[in-house]
Amino acid sequence: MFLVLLKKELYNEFRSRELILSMLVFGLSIILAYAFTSDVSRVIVANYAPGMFWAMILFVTVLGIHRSFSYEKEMDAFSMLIAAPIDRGLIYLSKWISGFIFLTVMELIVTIPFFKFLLIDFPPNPLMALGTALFINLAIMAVASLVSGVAMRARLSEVLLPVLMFPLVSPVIIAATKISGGIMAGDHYQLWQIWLLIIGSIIVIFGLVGYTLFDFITEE
Amino acid sequence: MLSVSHLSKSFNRRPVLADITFEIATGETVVFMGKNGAGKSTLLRILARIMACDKGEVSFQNHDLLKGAPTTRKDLLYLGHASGMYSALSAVDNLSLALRLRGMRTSKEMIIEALTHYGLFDQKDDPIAVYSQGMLQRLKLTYAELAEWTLLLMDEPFSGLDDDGAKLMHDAILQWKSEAQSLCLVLHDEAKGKLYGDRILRIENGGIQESLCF
Repeated sequence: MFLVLLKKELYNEFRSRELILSMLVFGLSIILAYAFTSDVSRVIVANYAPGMFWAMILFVTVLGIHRSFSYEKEMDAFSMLIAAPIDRGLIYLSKWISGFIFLTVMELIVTIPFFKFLLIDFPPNPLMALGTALFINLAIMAVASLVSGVAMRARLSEVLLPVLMFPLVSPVIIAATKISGGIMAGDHYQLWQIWLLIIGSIIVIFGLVGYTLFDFITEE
Repeated sequence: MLSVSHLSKSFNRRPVLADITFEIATGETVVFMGKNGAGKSTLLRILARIMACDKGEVSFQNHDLLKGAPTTRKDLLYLGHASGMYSALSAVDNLSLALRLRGMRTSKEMIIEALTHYGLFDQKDDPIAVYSQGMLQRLKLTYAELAEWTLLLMDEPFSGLDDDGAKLMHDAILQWKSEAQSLCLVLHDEAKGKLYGDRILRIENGGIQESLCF
């Protein structure tokens, strides 16, 4: 059943193309804003680049996850979904994994413009950068999918989503910045592995909480 | 088949449903009537487990519907005001998905055949975002026709339907009744209530004020 739900998320996006497109346009706009306003040396920009990158991802995630849940509200499709005789935890898992896929696709597209427009060098170990980015994306979406599930049933969901999400996802963004900063500087793995463990803990905690609680938080 | 006891629900401390108790037997059609905001749709959404109640118990086929496993609502189908489907997907894709979620593998040919019967063949591949209210009602009717259920919860089934659509809905309800399937309908038209219902339960001031049997 999980695969049916995941396929539904991916196919819905394939048909509408609203989610990735809006994330992409917003992400590229932020990069352009960064590029034309950071009138400082390349060394300083390179120091701040990891934070700038993950801050951009944070805003893009809010946009994407909000869209992912708002199309559930159109025509009350979410009611059909939760009234179906399925484990509602699987709905959370499908939102989580599909969000992870959309965010990763978006990141892969915006990464090159990010480095090119900000005139900074690519990380010395691109594979490690990619691997950790995937891990971080999982954590961001584990938090975002749970928070969106809570917020979507609220009357002011558009307001509630960022208010709830930003504080909860902040530890992930801080850890992501530290990890990416370490990789960009070519630091040894041991110097930033603690942040990776924090990310791993967040994935486990939010994944389990989301799967377990989604049954209750989705009811009006 | 369905037993509801002492069910209560409040919005902002204003009780909408207060200590509601009723039962629906197998093959029975119960029509809920009442003013706007009386709590008819709320009751249906609680029974479908879309909305949580404040207190009370609901037993469906001798299983606790509110606390039981997802499989306890396998034979229950809810069709609300809205279509309950995805606007970007076509009618065929939506029905295929909705049926898969109910554990059914229905062939595309069978879905198209049902869509044809309900007058949606020409628009079967269009995203349902372009459908009119009446077409969405026909789509819900097609879903109810294809899905397997023993109790149907349907909110205002005739809303938005033209004469042909209303005739299809009328025929479908009579067909389900003849097959001894249980129906819970929310209607506003007293004449239709008497036509389809074995009982009319009128919801007023949070409680069932009147129960007319035919």
